[in-house]
Amino acid sequence: MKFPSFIRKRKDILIRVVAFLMNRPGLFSLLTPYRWWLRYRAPHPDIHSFSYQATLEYLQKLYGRSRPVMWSSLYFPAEFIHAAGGIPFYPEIASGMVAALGLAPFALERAGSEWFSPDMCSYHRIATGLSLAKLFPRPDILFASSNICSGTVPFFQTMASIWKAPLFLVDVPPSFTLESARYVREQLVEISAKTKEITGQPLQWAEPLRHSHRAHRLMEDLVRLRRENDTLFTPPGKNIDYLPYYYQFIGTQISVHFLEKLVEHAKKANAVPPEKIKAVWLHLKPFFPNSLTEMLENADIAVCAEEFTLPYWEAWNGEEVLGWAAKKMMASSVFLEADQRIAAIIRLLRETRAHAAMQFTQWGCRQSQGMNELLRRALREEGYPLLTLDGDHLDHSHYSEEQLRTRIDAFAETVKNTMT
Amino acid sequence: MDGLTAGVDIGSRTTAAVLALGGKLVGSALVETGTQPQDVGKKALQKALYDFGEKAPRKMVTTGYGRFQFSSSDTVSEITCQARGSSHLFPKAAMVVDIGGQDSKVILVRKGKAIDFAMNDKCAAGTGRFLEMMAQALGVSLHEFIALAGRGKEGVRLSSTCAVFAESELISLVAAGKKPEDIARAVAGAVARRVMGLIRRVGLQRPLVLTGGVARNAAIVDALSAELGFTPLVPTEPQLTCALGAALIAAQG
Amino acid sequence: MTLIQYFCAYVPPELIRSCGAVPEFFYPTTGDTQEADPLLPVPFCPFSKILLHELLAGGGNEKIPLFALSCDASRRTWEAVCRFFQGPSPLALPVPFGGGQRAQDRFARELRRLSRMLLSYTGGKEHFLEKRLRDEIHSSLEEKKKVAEQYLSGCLSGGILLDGSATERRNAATKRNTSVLLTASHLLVQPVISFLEARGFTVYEDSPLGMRRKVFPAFSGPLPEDPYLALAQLYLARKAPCPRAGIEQRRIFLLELVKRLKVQGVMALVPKFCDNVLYETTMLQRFLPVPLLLLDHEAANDFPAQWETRLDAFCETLEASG
Repeated sequence: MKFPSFIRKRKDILIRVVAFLMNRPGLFSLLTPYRWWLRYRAPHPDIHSFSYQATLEYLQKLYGRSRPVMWSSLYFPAEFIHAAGGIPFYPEIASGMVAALGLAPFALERAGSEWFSPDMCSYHRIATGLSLAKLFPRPDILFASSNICSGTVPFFQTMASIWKAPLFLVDVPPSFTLESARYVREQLVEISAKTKEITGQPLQWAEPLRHSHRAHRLMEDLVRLRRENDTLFTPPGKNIDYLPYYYQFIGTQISVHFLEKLVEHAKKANAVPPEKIKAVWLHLKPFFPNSLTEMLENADIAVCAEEFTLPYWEAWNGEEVLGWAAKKMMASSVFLEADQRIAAIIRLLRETRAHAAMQFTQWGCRQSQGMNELLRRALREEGYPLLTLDGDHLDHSHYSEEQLRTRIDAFAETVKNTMT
Repeated sequence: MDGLTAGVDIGSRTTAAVLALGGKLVGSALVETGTQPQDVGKKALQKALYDFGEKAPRKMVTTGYGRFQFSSSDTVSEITCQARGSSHLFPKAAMVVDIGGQDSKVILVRKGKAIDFAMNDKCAAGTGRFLEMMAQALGVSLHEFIALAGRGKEGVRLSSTCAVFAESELISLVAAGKKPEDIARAVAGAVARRVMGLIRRVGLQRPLVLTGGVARNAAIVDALSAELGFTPLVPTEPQLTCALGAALIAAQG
Repeated sequence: MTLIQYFCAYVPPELIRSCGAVPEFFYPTTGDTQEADPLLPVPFCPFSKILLHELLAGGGNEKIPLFALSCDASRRTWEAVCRFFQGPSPLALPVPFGGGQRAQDRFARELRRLSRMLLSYTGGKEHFLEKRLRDEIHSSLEEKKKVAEQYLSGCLSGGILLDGSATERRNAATKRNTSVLLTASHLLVQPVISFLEARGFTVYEDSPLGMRRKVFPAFSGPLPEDPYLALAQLYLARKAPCPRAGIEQRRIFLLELVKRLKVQGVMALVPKFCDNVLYETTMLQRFLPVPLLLLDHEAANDFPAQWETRLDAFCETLEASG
């Protein structure tokens, strides 16, 4: 987003004004008439309008501070937050949205000015920059799990320090055993009690669990539908833009409604044409404005499944709720432990009858990049080529269009050579 | 001439144009890419055509970084073109290593087609650009640098993988009183090790063909041979193989 | 004799010894990463690359590598070693986050599991293992207490806590009254200490090679009777914290060190791509009451010549500010 020069020259003042406004909850009630108007104009919105309306409503609640704001790392179950009566805020997902709006450079610069190195994860740097500028919503509580990456724990500790809010860290062991599940559950029991002390009310699980269960079913339906019909989602990787509905809104009606619409959308979508290369998209993707989707389309590459939009956990089936939440947290190992992840990716490639896998690497992400070579070799043994594209999901300065184009074109050509 | 086809490879440092007729290279031109890739492709092609005495090829394929700037032809990636061109010159080639200005590439080849490849990550280490930066840091031209490296002796090692750190390490070596020729040789060794890392990712295959501008650099070839344990095949004009591949692909229609 | 090679300060050598094996701390001998480069990405822990290189280049090395799984780099390197190392199967010790009772209980279980693995290598018996372990802990306690007291009172400066050849000290031409705290990871610790000592400065080291392995400052209160729990408590809650232990713990610990050792400045060697250290540097920038010098580095074992100017200039400013 390009601001006029007189505003750019007074950027600091502008930021302060925006921060001042963002921290005036009452102001956000002014959005209500606009939301009504949107609903009046489109009483049966399509998937994109629905997403827009849902995001607007979410932002109004978040900055309007209608309920306690609870920050969370990616694999901390949103159902817990909804049960606690909080509004979940996933800073990593929000950083992606910030980059999509073209606002990442400001946030990255702000973090850099406080010595946050460009070699750190840009999801965390953007969240740090916007926290330092007080543009992100102030957390009442922060939740984080230890197993995502080495950066998550110190990042959330830094956030807790900047915002002076309590952080509840759940230590999640890498492999699932009854003992480790009990270990995670015990921590969740303790955190539930502490959360109750802060909010003054016990966790109400019934509704979040019902919605979570329904959303899980819909996610499974969607996966099945895409496999059976060879559904083509365009542009390639678009489904990753819907990440909030797979994570932070899980446990609410919003997620259920969205997924219902997505299932309907998938039923009507075209099938992948036979000449296209079917690829499974691993990890996340660059969110800043870029030509990646255009490059993929030009190279005849269609994305038939995304690793991060799969229902990776088991739906709640009436069991003890914190035990289930512990299992859900531990199920994230399928993204984080090399053996589990590789096996899951190979299964996904087979089930979707894909030709190849692709991953756009995240410069500051050691845990995902660190297993790339093991993954590449394992996939090659199974006959699946893997293209890893070097870059950064949010920091445009790591982006080189021509380097990407060469690699994508060459990859498509080599895959086609092996296909024929 | 009816069967005349052209291949233009617009790389980040140099642009090559090759004319092919009946599967043979009949004309070529090599120019510096400079800052206007849209013009340089045309310039290289015209030069090759002029030397050959023709006005236009029947068909043309463009490759390389600047291929989309040269809109009047089909485009194919340099991986496929390198595989095609190198296999044409060395029919038994199983692996092509191309060290270009911005990128190094390792290509696994079967029957003239690329079936797998690995390229350097986004940093410059292990590319021609890296050599240029190191030459600059030593205060010599690239040509002088090559000559220096040829005279260097073993014993100095450059371990940094990042070009910025490597430059800093190189300055440390200068400050420590190491001879420029030994440092230049260490730089060649660093490039070779870096490329070797890429080769290992794909899995070493023989015969191995070394292409790209850097393949003319004897110090790099020596260093890579030492890493490989054998001497790679180097075409007479290693900068032209990619454009040759493009011209041959054009001939196929 | 079974040699167990480890590199992380969370690994208790007492456990290795009680199982009949010999613990050997891994010191990088070169800055080479050649064998690791095809397997690990560019933006990755430089020490892990050196470690992986040395393990793979060593071929069928009979030493058994033991990985404390305490960060992304150690986890990924361990996975690569499991796949590509030609020698005996590596051992792993998952390290929980936090130092509370629940984390200690979990760590104790992991230590118990590790002891069974160690016994399978040494052929030792489980009978009396707990007694042997208790004896090992008991006999090391006095030493730990003494080292902690000496270090915290400023008596253990320089590379004295670094093992082996690293204890070499240079005699300064002139002794100065300036002292600095050097906080670092595994690489370049000794060269920087030697450089500063040669210029007459007093250096206190805070690195996994020495201090963080050997100094247990939290000594108050008895240890649990169960030897595994005792070890877990020692290494999770009583040992000098490393950057992974948490930003707040490190802030408190480093501020205490600065105060007790009366250092005039802090030098931080920052290995590129180590998230724990990168976050710690932002904390240091915010909270340190004395000047800070950051020096970032890749995989290397030699002192970079450009650092001379930076270190000299930093020390000169410390002296000038009195």
